[in-house]
Amino acid sequence: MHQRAKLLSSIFSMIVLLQIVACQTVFAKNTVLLDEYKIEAAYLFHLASYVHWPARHRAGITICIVGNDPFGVFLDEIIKAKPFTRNAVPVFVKRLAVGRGISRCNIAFIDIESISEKFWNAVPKYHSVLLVSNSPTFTQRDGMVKFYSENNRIRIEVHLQNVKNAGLRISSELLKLVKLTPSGSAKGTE
Amino acid sequence: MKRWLNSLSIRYKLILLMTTICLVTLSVATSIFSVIQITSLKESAIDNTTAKAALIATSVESAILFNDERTAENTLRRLKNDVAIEAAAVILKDGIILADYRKTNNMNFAIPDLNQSSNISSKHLDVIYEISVQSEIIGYVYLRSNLEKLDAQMLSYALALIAVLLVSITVAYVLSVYFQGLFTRPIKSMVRYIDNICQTSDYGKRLQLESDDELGRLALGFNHLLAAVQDRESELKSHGDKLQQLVDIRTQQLHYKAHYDALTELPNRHLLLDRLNQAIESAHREQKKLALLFLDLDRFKIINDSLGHAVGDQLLKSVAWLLESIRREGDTVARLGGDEFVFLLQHVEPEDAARVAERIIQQFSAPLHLENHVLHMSTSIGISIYPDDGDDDQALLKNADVSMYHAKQKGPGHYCFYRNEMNNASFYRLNMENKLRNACSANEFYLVYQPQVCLKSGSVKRAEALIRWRNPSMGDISPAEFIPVAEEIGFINQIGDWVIATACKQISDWRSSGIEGVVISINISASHLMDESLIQCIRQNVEFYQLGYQQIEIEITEDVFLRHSEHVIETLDKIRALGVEIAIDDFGTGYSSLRYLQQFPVNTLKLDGMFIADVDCNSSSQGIVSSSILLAHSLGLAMVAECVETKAQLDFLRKTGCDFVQGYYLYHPLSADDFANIIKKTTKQIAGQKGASA
Repeated sequence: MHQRAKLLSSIFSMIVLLQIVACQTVFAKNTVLLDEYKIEAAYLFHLASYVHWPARHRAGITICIVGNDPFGVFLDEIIKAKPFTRNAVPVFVKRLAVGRGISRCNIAFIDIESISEKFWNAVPKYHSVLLVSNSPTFTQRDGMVKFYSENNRIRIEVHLQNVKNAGLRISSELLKLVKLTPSGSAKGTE
Repeated sequence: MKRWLNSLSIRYKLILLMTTICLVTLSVATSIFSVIQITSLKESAIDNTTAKAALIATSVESAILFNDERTAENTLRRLKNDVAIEAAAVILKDGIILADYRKTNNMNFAIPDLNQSSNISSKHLDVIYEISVQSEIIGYVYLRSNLEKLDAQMLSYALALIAVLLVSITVAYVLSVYFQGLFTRPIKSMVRYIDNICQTSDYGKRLQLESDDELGRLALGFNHLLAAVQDRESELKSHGDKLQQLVDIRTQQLHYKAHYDALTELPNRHLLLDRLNQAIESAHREQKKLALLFLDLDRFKIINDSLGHAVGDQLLKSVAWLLESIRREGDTVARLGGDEFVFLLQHVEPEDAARVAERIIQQFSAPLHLENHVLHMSTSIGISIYPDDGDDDQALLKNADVSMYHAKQKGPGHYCFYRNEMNNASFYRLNMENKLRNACSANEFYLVYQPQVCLKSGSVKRAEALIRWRNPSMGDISPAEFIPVAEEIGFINQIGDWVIATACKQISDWRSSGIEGVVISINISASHLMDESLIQCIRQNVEFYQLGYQQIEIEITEDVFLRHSEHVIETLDKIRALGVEIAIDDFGTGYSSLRYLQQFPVNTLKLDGMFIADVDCNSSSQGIVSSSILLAHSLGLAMVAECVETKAQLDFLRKTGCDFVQGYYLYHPLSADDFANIIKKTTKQIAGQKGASA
């Protein structure tokens, strides 16, 4: 019994130790990505103000982080500080596994690491969902909004046809700022 | 300024008033509107710029959110089309400039105070506009605008205001010129009307002003006033007419008074001179002669003094009537004044003048019957002939006057033609007359004393005071010369007063020097005796010098008794009652009536020198002298013999029992001091003789 207790204590200690190591690793990774993701989180939040959804969505805008969440608490902090869009529509955050419940989101961010063929296959079902990613090739397929880096700045590219196809409309104000994906670009594979 | 305002007519005052009110009101109004407008323009500029900033803010909101400085810059660059904007910037909330714009590259600007939404300086307007999303400030838009537009607006506004002001004042002036007429036209009409009334003095006119305002009431009041003035004027006119009539009458009367003598109604000197000058002109033209007869009544003054002025006036009237009865047609009889008359004969020869003079003298030979008196009058006439004796009025009158004096010297009732040599004599006399009047005040008279020697005792205690006149320019003038002149010019009484006063003072002086009991006899003229003031004069002097009345003796001539009257007797009684002695001078030469010796209170007789002169050789004179002395003594009077010049005369007088003698044989007239010495000497001698005889 005493040894068993010792063993349990050792196992627990190891688990704690492992968790500490794991946390430190994550934290280190978060620290590296902080500025880039922070900006992307803010952009993600602001997108909610510049996209027009069909009328039934006006009760609230749900931003879904699909799969991997690169923003951590930043996005939550932003929304906590500013829970409404410019048009006074409440904003919520949800975290989803790939392929589950995306249809109920207004904005779905899918990290480059979480994009799979399975995701692309399910895309046609996601009507009225603004699909955002930081994948460089995102707009070359059915993706709508892409964050990319240019001259050490985070920029936005929009595939306008995909957006329209999804029944969404992007504010002209935003369109002034973004790079539009040239029309007729061939859909590639990820 | 106030004087100038007062000098303005009501018309200009009204115009000035209305224009000034308009100017002041408009100035105040435009000032207020200007302030409001400037404020409004500034606010508008701020609003305008703020609106631009708001637009930009909207445009750059997403750029800020998505950190897109390029888009922000592009947005700002669009401002280059806006000339007012000189600079702009998009500033993040932490103060970092996201994008900026400058109209000119070399322009610099500092980040302004973000808390101040707008700031306007003299050159720029700075506007800060907050960019916020859901009430969170995400940045600011800064715009700097120049004020050219604002300045231009303000300039045009100012010009518009000035134009409005000028136009308004002009309109106000024009309107006031028009409207003042409403007030001033009736007033001017009234003024014109009143001026007209004043000039024409036609108070029958009335103002025609039909209005119910104050001017109407004023016109009504003025018309009432005019009616009153008209009534008053007519009253005054009638009164004036009456006065004018009175003035005409008075003027005639004055003219008469100015040209005619009130007493005799003969032409006066003034009218005479007029007629004389006309006559001279006429004679000159026609080469004819004219004569001027200057008449002076003889002894008129004595008559006037003794019988009174009323009788004198009656006499003058009678003489005037008499002369008027002789006057031919064309001749003039005038009274010059006093008892002087002038007869002007035109177109005559000297012999005609002589005939007229003789006729006048002849007319006077008949006695004149006055109310209670019958008077024997005569006149002396001097005649001057134009052009022989003078060629102007003054010369003719003067020369006729001079010749009249010469006529008088011939005796009463004579006439005399003027001769050139008369003028020197008459000038001398005129000169004397003038100097005589001033002699008393100039202290030119003095007294000498001729002692009267008592034959019984040989003492000298009495003297006759004799007046002497020494004039600086004329020298010594004899009393025989100046006394008649003094009598004629009516100055003799003053001389008599002076003699009394001087004699009394001298007696007092002698008394002071120890000589007592001197008696001085003083000659009193007939006219002085008639003068009420004589007694007063004697009394005053005797009392003032504290003398005895018996120390004064008055000498009167027998002439007095020619004009004797109750009054003379009364006066002599009063004088005698005082204690003053009375002597009759020149006894035996005048009025030979012995009755007055009984009637009058006389003490002494002074036998005239003419009887003494040949008493030593003429038996009749001896008889007169001795009987006169006898007569005097029998009447209880003392006898004084004058003009004793020889021892034989003195011896005879002593023998016949004469009381006192005076004359050059004994003493010449002496000065006061010499007389005092004689008194002392004789007193001493008598005392010595008495002592020796005792």
